[in-house]
Amino acid sequence: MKGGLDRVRLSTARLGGESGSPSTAGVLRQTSSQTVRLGRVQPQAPTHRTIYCNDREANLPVRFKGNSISTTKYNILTFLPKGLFEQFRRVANLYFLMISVLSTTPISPVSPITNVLPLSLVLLVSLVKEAFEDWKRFQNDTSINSTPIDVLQGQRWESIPWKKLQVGDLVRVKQDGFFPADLVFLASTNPDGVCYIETANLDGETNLKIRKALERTWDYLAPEKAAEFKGEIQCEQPNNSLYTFTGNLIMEKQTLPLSPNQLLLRGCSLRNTEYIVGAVIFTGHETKVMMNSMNVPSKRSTLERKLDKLILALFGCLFSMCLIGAIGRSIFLVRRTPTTVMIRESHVEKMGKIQEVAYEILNVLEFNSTRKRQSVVCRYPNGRLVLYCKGADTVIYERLGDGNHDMKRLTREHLEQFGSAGLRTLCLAYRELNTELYEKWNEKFIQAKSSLRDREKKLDEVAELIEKDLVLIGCTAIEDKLQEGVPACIETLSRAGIKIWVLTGDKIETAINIAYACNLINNDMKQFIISSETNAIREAEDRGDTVEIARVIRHSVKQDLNRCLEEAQQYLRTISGTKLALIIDGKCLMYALDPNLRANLLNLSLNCSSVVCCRVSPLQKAQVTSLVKKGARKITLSIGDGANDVSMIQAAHVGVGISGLEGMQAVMASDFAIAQFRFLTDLLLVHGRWSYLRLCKVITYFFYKNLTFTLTQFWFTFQTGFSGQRFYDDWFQSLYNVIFTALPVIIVGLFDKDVSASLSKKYPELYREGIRNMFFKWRVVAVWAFFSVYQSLIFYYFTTAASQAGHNSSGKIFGLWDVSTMAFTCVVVTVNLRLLMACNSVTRWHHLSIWGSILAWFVFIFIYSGIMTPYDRQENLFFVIYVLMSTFYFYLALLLIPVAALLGDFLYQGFQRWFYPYDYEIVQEIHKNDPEDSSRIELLEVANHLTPDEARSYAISQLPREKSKHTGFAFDSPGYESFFASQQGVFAPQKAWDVARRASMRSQQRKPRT
Amino acid sequence: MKAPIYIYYELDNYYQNHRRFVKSRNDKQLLYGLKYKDTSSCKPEESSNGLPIVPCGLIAWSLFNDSYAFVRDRGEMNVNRKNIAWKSDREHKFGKHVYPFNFQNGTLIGGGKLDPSIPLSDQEDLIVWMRTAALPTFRKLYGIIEEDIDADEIITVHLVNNYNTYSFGGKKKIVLTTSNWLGGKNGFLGMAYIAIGTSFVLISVLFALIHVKYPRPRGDPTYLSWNRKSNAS
Repeated sequence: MKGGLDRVRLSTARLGGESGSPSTAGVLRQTSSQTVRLGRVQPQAPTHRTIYCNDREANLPVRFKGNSISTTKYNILTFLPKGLFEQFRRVANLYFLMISVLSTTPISPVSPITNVLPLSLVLLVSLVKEAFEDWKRFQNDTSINSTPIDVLQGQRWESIPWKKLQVGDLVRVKQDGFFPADLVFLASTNPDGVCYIETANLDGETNLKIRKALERTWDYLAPEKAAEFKGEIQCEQPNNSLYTFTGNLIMEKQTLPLSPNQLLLRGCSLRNTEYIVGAVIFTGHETKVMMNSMNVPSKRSTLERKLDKLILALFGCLFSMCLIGAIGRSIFLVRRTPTTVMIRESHVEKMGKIQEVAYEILNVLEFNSTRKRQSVVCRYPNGRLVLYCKGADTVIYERLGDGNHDMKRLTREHLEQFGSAGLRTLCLAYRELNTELYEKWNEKFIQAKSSLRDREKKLDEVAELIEKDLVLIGCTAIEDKLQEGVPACIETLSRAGIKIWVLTGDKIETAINIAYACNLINNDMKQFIISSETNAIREAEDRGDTVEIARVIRHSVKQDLNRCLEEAQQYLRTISGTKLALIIDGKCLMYALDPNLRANLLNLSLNCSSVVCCRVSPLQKAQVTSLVKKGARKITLSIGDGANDVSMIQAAHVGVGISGLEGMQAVMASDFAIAQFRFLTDLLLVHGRWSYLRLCKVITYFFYKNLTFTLTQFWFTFQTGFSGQRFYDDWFQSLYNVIFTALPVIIVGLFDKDVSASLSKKYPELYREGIRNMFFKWRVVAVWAFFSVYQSLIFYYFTTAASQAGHNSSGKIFGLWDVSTMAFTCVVVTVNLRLLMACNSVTRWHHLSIWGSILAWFVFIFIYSGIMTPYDRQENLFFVIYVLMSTFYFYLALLLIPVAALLGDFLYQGFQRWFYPYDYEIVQEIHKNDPEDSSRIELLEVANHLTPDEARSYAISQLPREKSKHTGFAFDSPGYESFFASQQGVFAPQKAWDVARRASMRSQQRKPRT
Repeated sequence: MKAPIYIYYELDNYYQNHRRFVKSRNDKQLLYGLKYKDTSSCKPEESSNGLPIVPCGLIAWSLFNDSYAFVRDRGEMNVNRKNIAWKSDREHKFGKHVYPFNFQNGTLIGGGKLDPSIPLSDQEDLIVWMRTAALPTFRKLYGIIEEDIDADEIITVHLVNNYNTYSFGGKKKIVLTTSNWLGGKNGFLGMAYIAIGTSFVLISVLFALIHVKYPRPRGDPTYLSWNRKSNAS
């Protein structure tokens, strides 16, 4: 079983943000003009495929693809070229490659090994890592491909590995098993030919879905019976649309229509059903889930990009240094610093238990966003026919019969109360049907259902015929509770200078309520609401002309935007300090994102302190994110927990997934995963800020130490007749970064912190220093560069000037290598001590690494200059350190030079701290006398915040295999999946359940999900 | 001046640290002599008349060969030219059984000649010369006078001007100096110590003044940037 779970995680791990995207659906459904494309469109050669079930020989000529999958990035042949290519896309590696190539030419003063060795080491480690990761992927693939599955052979079920499965095979999938390929559902052990599946791996929804087999195939359950099954399936070509499927099953010269209701997708698992029998239609990479796989976009931090620029600058610097050298000769020679956060609120779903219901369901009229309702027709044992309908209040009220005004008024009042309390509401209604009416209607319904063209449209029309004259039952409301600590977290984040946008699928009223609850909007704010729920738009929609609707909405959106923008600017001009908020719904957003209006939208929203977008599709979430990312050039962070957040998580600079209740989809697409929204404070304000500081420090320090080192060499060049003679021994040069100055900076990169975790959260404003990029401005780099020039001059001129006339007590004089070893010793000591000045905290690790590095240099030079190797090398360095150390001059210089070199930095730091202190420095001063281990206590508190339930849910979320064992429905909040799918022109997934069933469920005691 | 008095020659504008010059030597040959054949690094002074040169290379070829004699009233002073090179060089870098061979036999004479009967480890002026200098202006130890020189005593120096520095506009100097436990007189280091020390005193005064003139209470929250901004607005 374990293997089975792993494999599905894998196959969906690469499922990208396109889940539910319409890219190919448009092609299939000939409505491509309306669909918005995201990602690639699969070429569709023949329009359908024909599969002969249970007949391998008949399928042979078509050569369907096998069921084995491969998710590896490389194979043995492509590994080296592709892997190296990936490595050399980094500017730094390319730069060192160039240097290495140059060093192998005779013009180079240094031996190639000093450059080639470090580069090869870096490349080797990176490639080994890549190879290891790919090997793990390969092993995962192998374990998936060799998972056993029961396939019908002859008259028996035989166990074969997944990879041997072929299109047309009949398979048996047992309870909790995963579907090995895309199957057409034929028979189930459950009565009524239904089965329950969990699609959490596909779309993040944890509620179980019902699939129902065609009645004609219910009997093919036992192997002897199934062996008799001979059918021909005609269906669409493989595509990546998870929610659509059109096909026909032709058996015994009868054509039976197949819909998504009979489709079992790879990646889903079977629940509450002993076993099912299905026919394989799409295999391996042609399954819908695999067609959805998209390479996870590789993200680069702004810091990394700046680092590239820095390397280029360094390169330019070196190049001009070389140029100066050459001219002389001819005469003689990374943070992320998120500033905008997209969030959507999380749902706590209430779970109930399934109960078997005795009555018979005759028809199900599906939910979709145009209908905004769902109905079911059922027959009670006594023959009474009833239609039950649930849906949005507006839709149900339109279809109610006359009379019963009290009930309507009361329910309306309830609805308003519930709505203002931030609850999600649904209206329930029913209609008694007589047999004659029903039979007449059912005929039309069956016709519509089996039509191959415009099936959904016809179904909608037919549904309209019967969903009228309803009698109101009442309304329901469910609480969509915010996660604990969300408002406090949002307030903290906005104090940190982070702008927060809410992108939600909820309707406008709910979204506003949630925004109030989160402190995003309050009554002191000026609210701009751009909604499509205006009379003008509604009238246009009633007329039904799509072109006209578009024109009207575009016009009104444009007017609204301009009006709001004007008002906003007025508010900003007056110094009243009124904060602004923008609320816009998905339909308007669609037009506002139009290239002509985009600038206005951006302008307006950047002036607002909060922005709430409601009723938005996953695609729009991604579009809004990209708008801010590219249009405003801000750093964006998206956080969400649902499958519909995947695309926005991938679009943002930083994607954060909440490993919550809605499956692992968001987490898998994310860069960081957290268990609860409020942990975002810790993620950003504590760890994000620390790592930003550390990265800045590490990068600037690397820049400094190498520049200092290189410049001493440069000054020497001036005095060698520009001949390019090297100042330092080759090994000094190559081990400088690897041994003598490596460890301390790693320690700083790991442990340095300016203020403790608790203070970081107590002063969220500290985060603004990161947003303003205070620690990695060009100015900061310039200061480091200035002092490295100063220090290198000290190193070079002090050592050479002092050795000019210096000799030891027996009159002997230093040579070139004595002087350079001395200079190098000073460089190593100074550069290590400089780091000590840059650290905010000095622990014993700092001491250990800094003094250890200096010691390492001395140990190295004692050994290196003490031995004569048998290899051919110039014995320049022989005995130099002993010669040096036999003179007092060496010790005097070693004491003086680092002090003189660090004098400048000391002065600068003193002045800076006194006159222009950074915020963190003030905070450090305020809390100077706080007990040392307060941060540790705080961290423990964080851990203690988890209630046993939370801890368990977190632990469960870490273990997908345990997590997905649900036994019941979730109360379906307004159908996200279907809503978003239909927003994009995709047919909504089938959800064959009914109000009555739900009603019966409500009598059961609800079990809150843990 | 008290003995020992060290005699240095000083050359300037002499690029002993030029890349081509620095690498034109072969340490293996210096240690093992003719047994060591691969002397390509010594080009262009690798061989002459078809025979290898020991010691090969430009450094050895350009050996400094001025000679000095110091005469006082009482007669010529004894200049000890032994023990002028580092012990480690003599014992480990120049072979005891390696004798000069085919040296300075080419058409172009670069500098001094070597006595082929003395092993390289005893040719101390060569060893001193071959510890190449760091800068284009450098001193090298010529010898040691092991007699005291009195104040106001006149010393006549007889020098044989063999070494051609006119061609590159270089200058030659002779320096006589003594040393103590610290080493030789080192004006620079002393000055530097005083300068840095003084600047530290000045800086401490400066900081003290700043503290008085522009006081900033430690940990004053009004200095936090967000507090400053709200005050301003």
